[in-house]
Amino acid sequence: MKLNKLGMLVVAVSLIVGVIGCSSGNKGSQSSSPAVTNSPSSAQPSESASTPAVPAKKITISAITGTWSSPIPDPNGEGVKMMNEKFNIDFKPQGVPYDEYESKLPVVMAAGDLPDIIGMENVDANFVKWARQGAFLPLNDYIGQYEAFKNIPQNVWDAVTVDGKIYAIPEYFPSKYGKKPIIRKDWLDNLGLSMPTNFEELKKVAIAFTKDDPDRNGKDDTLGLGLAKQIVYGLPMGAGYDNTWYYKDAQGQMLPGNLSEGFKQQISVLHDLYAAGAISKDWALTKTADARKDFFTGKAGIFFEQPYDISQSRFKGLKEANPGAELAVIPPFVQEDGQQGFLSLPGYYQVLSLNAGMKNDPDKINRILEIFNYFMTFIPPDQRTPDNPDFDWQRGGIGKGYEMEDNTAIDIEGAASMQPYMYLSIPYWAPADEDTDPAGAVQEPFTKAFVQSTVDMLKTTKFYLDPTNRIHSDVYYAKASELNKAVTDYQTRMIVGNSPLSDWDKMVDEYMKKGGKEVIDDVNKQLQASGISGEWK
Amino acid sequence: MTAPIMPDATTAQASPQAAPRQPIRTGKPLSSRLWRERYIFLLLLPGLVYFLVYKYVPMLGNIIAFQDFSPFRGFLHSEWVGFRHFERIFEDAEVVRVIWNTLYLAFLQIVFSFPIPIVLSLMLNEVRQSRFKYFIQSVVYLPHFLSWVVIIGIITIFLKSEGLVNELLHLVFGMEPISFMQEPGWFMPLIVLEVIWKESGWGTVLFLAALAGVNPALYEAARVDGASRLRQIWHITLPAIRSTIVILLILQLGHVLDSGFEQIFLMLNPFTMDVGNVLDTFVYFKGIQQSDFSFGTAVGLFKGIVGLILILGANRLSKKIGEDGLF
Amino acid sequence: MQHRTVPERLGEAINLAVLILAALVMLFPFYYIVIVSFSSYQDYMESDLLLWPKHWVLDSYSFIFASKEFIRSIGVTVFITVVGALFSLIMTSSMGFALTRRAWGQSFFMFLVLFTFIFSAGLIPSYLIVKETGLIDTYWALIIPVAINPFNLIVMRQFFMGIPEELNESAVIDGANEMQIFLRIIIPLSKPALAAFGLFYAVVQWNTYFSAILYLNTPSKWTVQVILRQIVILNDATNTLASAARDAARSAHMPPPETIGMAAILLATVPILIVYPFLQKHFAKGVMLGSVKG
Repeated sequence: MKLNKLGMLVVAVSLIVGVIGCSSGNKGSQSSSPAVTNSPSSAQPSESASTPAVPAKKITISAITGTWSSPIPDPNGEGVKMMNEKFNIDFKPQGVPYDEYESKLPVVMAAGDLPDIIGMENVDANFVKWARQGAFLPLNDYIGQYEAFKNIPQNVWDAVTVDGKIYAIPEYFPSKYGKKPIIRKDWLDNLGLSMPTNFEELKKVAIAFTKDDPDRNGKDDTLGLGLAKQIVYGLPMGAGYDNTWYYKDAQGQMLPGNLSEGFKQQISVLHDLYAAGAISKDWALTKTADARKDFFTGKAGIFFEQPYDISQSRFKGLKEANPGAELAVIPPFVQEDGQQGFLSLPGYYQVLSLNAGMKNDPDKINRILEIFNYFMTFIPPDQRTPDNPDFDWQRGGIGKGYEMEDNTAIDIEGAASMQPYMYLSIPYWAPADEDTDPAGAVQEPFTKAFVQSTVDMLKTTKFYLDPTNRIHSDVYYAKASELNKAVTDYQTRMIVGNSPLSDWDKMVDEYMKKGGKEVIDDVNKQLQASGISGEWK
Repeated sequence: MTAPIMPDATTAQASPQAAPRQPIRTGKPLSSRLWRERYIFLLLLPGLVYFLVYKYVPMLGNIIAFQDFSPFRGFLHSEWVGFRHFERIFEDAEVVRVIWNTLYLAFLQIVFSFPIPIVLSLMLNEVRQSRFKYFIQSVVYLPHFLSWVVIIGIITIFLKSEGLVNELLHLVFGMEPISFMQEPGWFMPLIVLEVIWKESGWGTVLFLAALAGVNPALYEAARVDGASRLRQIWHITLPAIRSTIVILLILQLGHVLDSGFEQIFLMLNPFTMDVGNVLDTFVYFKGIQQSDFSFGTAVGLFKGIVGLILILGANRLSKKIGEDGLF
Repeated sequence: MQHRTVPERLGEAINLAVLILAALVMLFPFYYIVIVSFSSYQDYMESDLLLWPKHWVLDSYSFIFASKEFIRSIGVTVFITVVGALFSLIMTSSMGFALTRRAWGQSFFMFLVLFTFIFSAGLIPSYLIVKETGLIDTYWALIIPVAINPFNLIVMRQFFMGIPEELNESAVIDGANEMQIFLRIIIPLSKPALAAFGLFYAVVQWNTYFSAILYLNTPSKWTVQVILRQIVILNDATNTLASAARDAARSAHMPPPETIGMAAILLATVPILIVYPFLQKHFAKGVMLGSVKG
């Protein structure tokens, strides 16, 4: 009996100990290291006298970033090992799918568990709040030393600056190559019409596309314009007609685009087209992907596409089904104020911040910035071959991480963990958008032609920089999306005819009452304080 | 709690043996009593440690509801603001709307989701062929075991504009496709329907257990007296599960402010946010995604307190009408 | 055998018919998923209204099985399900039993448990505690913090109290202590109930989604529900308000077609479907026993 009692005791105690033991045992084998500070995990004796060409101290660097990659590259992959070797670091990346990143980052942030590098998708209210609370390291004093950063234009630096301090390194995204209006040129030719240069002409063309059988197949199966719900993409035929802060009111205050006279023109045209049947009756329920499908299956004659990062199969499909198809970008309309040009994109996508905790460790700061600089250093498209050692290394080595097909590097499926560049996914910062040669990345000839002609045209087109991308208004962040949704809903009803266009002023009024006035006041305040206003480039 | 119905049996069937035993006062000193009871404590200890560490210590974190918490200053150094966040609960229009959504959903659940398991179990009880009964029971329990991720994944595919449901509607009724997942008007009905599909079957477990305990002789006697089957159900079957129904209904009322986080979170999108955001998701969005930590925590605390009052009230109510309470 | 009148027979028939209909409604989504998962993507694109595959193909399944992530996540999830359920059972039953015995502070401890029904800590303090106890990025983060469900604890305790006191008393007379009573008498007699609770815990573990995202940093450790959501949800880009850049970044990673989503759902559910009939026997019994005794 006594033996059994003892046995029980042992079992019970070992259960408890086992549980606690396991958890503390795991503590040591955590793969994500705690945030920051100075001491390197395994320091090599630093070179004393001679200036080290290779960094002397092995530094542990942890990172957390959102990603669209699926699957996410392995934190213990070959790519990481390569980075460790090249930069003399102990790299600990953590990729989180974007769907969940919005949840995880704030929690990790709140728990004080921040890694050294923090990625964020956009500059938003959280970014500003956390910057002000002291989460991120100001980088003003450091960026001057790095070549690649010099390509970053002022308006993009403004976006990541809060209260005069730069809190993140932005990642390149072409500002010119957002969605542009495209039209079936072959249909214009078939109907003997010329490229529209203003809304009246556009209306005529769209209606003709609907009624006059532009594809000459004897069937009444065409539409003028493809439109999706939430008024995507609408008809922004120039910055003055787009949803951007462009116009000023009588008091000199800048106003949001979707309330302006220019936008009103757009809505009015959409209304007329809807009434004439040039837009699908269910557009308000249609998803963007489906509206796009309409264009690429030859049903709609006007839609929007971008010359960057596109699906070649779509274009190919269009050409195969409609061998005579020709595409062209509709140049921006001349505005009443004489300007002519499109709205520019913010010019960046995703930003990388450094943890403020490392402020007393300049070695670490510089090491990290060196790494960013390295990946960001522009390699011209024609040099993206195994002959360029940097390119080859970044992509994991020819035959291991990527293959060359037709002089273009194609990543090997499933080899993401072999490629250093997949971990932080930092794009090259191109000196000018054209330098990225989007057409070169495309093989399919129809697509290639389209991309090239678009790029050429946009090279000489003017672009408008939205000033609100460069300032931070808390009021704007808090209320903008809600207010915008209400406006979009109202305008949807106007297009469909449920509300008259004369209600425009009423709509503006409601916007103001629901907090819009505060937003406008605050945005203008910020604009004045920073001396930033709308610019044409 | 996602389901309106409790997943396990026995709560309602509190027997005389279930009353907690009274501690015996023997006059011996505490230490020797503890020694005598040491095995009980041994068995108790792991669970106790668990509760303390993983349930109670985190509760201390609720203190940030009274602070203007900044993670970079930590708990000890964040500014103290007293009840300011709680005041905001009543002033913030968004909170009011969210509470309204929560209550509306609770109402729908009680009116629609709650009765279904009862009806279902009554019907099952009437089935004579045990093979059928067993088959239907097994099938009907099944959805309970699926995760919300799976269920909403299925729903998303079914309800797309080109999806199965819309195709059928078009074929049979000639209707235009409905964007179920984006129409605010469909959000609540969908939530309720999903809960019914998932939990009704499982909810019958409790009732069926109670019904199994009904003495068949009662039915015989009623039949001899000339009662129809429907009358038998009304007079015998229903009263047998009355206490179960009452307890569950009262528990449901006590949980009016809980809505089932995961289901709603997975269903929400920008279009349905206005009508679908309930307290649980609101606390999450505000408190985590928008890193308004203190306010989120304050709302959470508020919800807990209201929930506490409701449960206590519900418990007292159940005792008043003659049922055993939860405690 | 009782006589049944004609209206009664009719009533029963209708009753049965409605129930069978209900059962079919419950089953239909499963059926549809199976069908679609075995169909080719072309057939599915043509019309969603598939009630029987035009061509039986294994494409979706081969795609998934080629995905190491999915396979690994199943392995991971099996591990935490089995270990987690066992762990929870041990913790819950030992504490549940301890609370049935009169001991010092018993009602206080009961109150401690009940209080957690009502109040829970927020996400951040919970994360902090998991971090401070060293569980971040370990599988134990999915097992320990959810070890005991207070509701299950109460019910199990209720169940134990339903076991006749005489058995316990005779054991005490024989000189057994509570631990031995627990192991020798209570456990063997509670097998159906333990099976039932084990199943409940196992289901919760299998369906773990949010905790995995929060506490596990390494993608290779993720559970099957997380991977599943990636596959299915990424399909459905409803966010038309997204910025151009987000659009581009997203479309650069083409999502797999719906048929794969279906196959993934099926695979994530199959283990439950397999285990289910075996356990259904047990917990049906357990429920019965619990109710009769309790």
